[in-house]
Amino acid sequence: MGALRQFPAFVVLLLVASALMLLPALHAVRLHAWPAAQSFTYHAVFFGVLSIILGLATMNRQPRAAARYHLSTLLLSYILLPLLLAAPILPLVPGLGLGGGYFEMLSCLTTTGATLFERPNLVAEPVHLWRALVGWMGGLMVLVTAFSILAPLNLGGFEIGLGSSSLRDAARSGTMEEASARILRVLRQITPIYVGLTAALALALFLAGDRAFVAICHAMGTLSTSAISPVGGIAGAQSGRLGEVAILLFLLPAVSHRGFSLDSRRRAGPRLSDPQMQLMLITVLGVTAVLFLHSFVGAAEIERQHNLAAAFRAIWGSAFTVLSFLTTTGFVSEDWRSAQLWSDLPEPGIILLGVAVMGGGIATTAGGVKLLRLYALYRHGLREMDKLVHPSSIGRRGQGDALINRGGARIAFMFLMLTLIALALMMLAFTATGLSFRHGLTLAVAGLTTTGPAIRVVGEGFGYADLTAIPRAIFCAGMIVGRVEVLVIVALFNPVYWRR
Amino acid sequence: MKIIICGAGQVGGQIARHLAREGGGNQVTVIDKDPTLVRRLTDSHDVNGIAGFASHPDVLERAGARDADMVIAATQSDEVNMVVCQVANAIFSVPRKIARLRAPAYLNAIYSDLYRTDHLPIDVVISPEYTVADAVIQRLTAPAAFDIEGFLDGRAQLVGIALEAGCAVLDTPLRQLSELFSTLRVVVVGVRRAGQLFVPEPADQLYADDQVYLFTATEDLARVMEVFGKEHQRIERLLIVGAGNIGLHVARTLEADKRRHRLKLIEKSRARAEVAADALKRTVVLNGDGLDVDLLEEANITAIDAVLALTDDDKTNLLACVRAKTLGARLVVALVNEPSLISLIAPMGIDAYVNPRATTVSSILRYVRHGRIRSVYSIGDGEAEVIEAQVLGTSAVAGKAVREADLPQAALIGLIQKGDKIVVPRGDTRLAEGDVLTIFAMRDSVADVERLFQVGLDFF
Repeated sequence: MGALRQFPAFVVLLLVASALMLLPALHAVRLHAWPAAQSFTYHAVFFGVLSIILGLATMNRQPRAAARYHLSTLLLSYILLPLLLAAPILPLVPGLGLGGGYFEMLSCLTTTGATLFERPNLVAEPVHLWRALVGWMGGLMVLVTAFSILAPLNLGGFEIGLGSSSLRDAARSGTMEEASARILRVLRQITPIYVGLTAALALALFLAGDRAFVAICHAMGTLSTSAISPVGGIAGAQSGRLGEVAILLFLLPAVSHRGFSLDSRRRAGPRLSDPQMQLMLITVLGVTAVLFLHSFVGAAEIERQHNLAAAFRAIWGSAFTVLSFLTTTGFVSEDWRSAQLWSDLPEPGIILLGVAVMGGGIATTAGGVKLLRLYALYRHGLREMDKLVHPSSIGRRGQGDALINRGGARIAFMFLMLTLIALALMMLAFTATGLSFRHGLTLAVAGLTTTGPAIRVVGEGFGYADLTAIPRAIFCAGMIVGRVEVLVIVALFNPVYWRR
Repeated sequence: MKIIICGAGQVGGQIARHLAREGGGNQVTVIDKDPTLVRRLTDSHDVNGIAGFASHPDVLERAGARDADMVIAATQSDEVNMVVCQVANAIFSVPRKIARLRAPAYLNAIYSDLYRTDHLPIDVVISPEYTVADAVIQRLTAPAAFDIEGFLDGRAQLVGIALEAGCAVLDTPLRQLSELFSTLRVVVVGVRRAGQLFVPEPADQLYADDQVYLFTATEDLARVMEVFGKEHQRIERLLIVGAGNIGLHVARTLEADKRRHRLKLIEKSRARAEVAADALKRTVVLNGDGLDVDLLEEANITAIDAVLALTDDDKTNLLACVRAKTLGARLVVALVNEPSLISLIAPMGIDAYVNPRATTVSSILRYVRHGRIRSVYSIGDGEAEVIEAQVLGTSAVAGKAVREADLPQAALIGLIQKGDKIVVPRGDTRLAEGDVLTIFAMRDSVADVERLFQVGLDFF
């Protein structure tokens, strides 16, 4: 273990990825799926040996600046790791190709969950387990980096909260030893919670009637907000509405970072006073109400408004789906369709894209703009209105979770603008390859907010498999930018940052 | 009594002056690290002074801590005050230790166990800022009175009212007044006429422009105010000038009040205003000068019910009040430290004032007194005192009727608490053991009154 600590972080990640390949291999052995078992085992051994050699070769290398080192490692792993992850599944899925494999694995690692497998039942179970596992580990990686690397750098949503005055403090991340110790500490604190929640959800889904394998995959897909499913979404599972209730509850950790908070010693769990929670409730309830009224009016026109059961199904379907898209998971309730069937109106999909852009909480597995930044902007708006009445009044920073530092709104606004520019550029790129505006918008939002299943908004059975190579490459770039957050990439490519 | 006072600043200085002036064998020694402050006190009053660090044992020893009866630690720093008490207890075994603490965490009732003799030996904790803030808030409960203070656990109030022409009680002997309004529990205990404070006789009459001090049961307060010609005003919108310790505490207390006042706070220092904005939830905090007309208009001064000027500068407070009054504020209250400025209050048209000196001294005096004296309030610049005392079985007045009680000429009994009833004393009312009396006494008679309530020797 001592030698392992002296390996560069990227090599450690490679080793972890290689070791993880043994899990699908074991599952394949249990299923007597020998080709899959063979492929996963061989690749595990090969990459394991390779990364140890690489580690020995680069051991004890002292990077010049800890902060830059970790951020570049993060970016590097999102770019390179999918190649390694894709290797074992290439021989198992004929016709996928290296590009396809890379796309598939990157979408898992970034917890996007965009899949090329149109018909999941044609793909072997170990491959699905591998996807879910990679997505789950991707979620853990996001949590750990958020708390251990981005938080001390005042990035990833922490820039508007306590203690940080501006981005000027960004270089204060301590020495290498401190940084690695922090990563280990965070890992030790978060992993039990993450594993425990996943296990609890898996058990709940199993009790609700899912197959154990499906339950585990869906639990991993929920906690990591990747929505990776071996049966093409929860519509394919047996647990039904009971399962949806369980998933809904376990989406909440993606709303407030208190779910995985480091303050666990102080028992500061997610509370209703957390503005992110409040904003989530307002959004979910508000959008549900709008969607329900929309369908109700539609149903009234064709005189079906007295169908109470259909009305309740419509409410549940909207609430679940909105929360699922808000946390950028992307599971769609079975009842989502029933609202359309009830009212005979077209699917109000675009609203889901808007909700996905809002995103979940900071330092969670969710993507998007993040609720805390929107809250900062909202507070800033209120403050400006106050200033109209009392020009010399002094604003308050708020207390506890609602604390926003004085520059918070500016940074949040900057982040929003950067995201919107990235969105515009991506749409531009997509439409340049010949896709329609609707396709471009949906793909750009799905990529940047890491909500893969949002592709369904396009309708007409359109899927990622229908994309050609160039749009896929653009989508990959979008996923990385969306996952690492635009601000981090800007920080990383800031020339001042490199020159020192 | 030998008393050591640590700290010769605002609080310590006031206490020293008051105790020294009282006479009656108080030997006061003041310790401060600033020699000029000590010098100023020793020059003007009969006190000893030592320049030095109050918590150092050698300094305390030089101040005579070995045979001192009481230590009052009133320096700026909470921690120094605590150490003073600790040293006084551990090395010099001083029997009574009073410390001034201001940090809210130290004052939290949950942690009051801290001040037990075996932990941190402080007998009494005083926090003048909070006492003053409470006095300000009390002032708001009867906006028409210029002075108000609660007694008998808040069941009786001492109210100071300025009488105006045309009010119902003028030109009538006090004896007849109590017959006219027999259902009201009210006793007039002091009158200030043309600057002279005196205790009225039953045959005395009240005239317009008199300032009267009266005791009334809290339930009767509203009716009493009406009888004395003061309409009840509802106070909803408040403006506080100055977000110092006092201002901030007042704002915080008012925010917690369930009547949901609408508060605005003006503070000159931007940093302090930011602290205040973070500490308060609903209050609008404005950054600027409280004398600035534009700023006052921004605070919508014409619609403000009460303005409280609570900065640490007397003159700013007075001017802010005058400015607010001219701009249309209904009630203005000023914090005034300097006793000589109090005479300016009425001519400047300011409705009421709070004198931190009186309030602080009151809070200290009740622990300096002997016997079963519970509460002491000092009127004006120490001209008179209001004392709340319990009758003990062995004291000189127990079992006697009021007219036999041998009270000094310049002292008067206010309301009496018998059991859980508040009664107005008549000549034949008997003072039983356990009764709690309120007494208004001019400065010269305080010592005599005290003697009445001292326990006899057989008590021990």
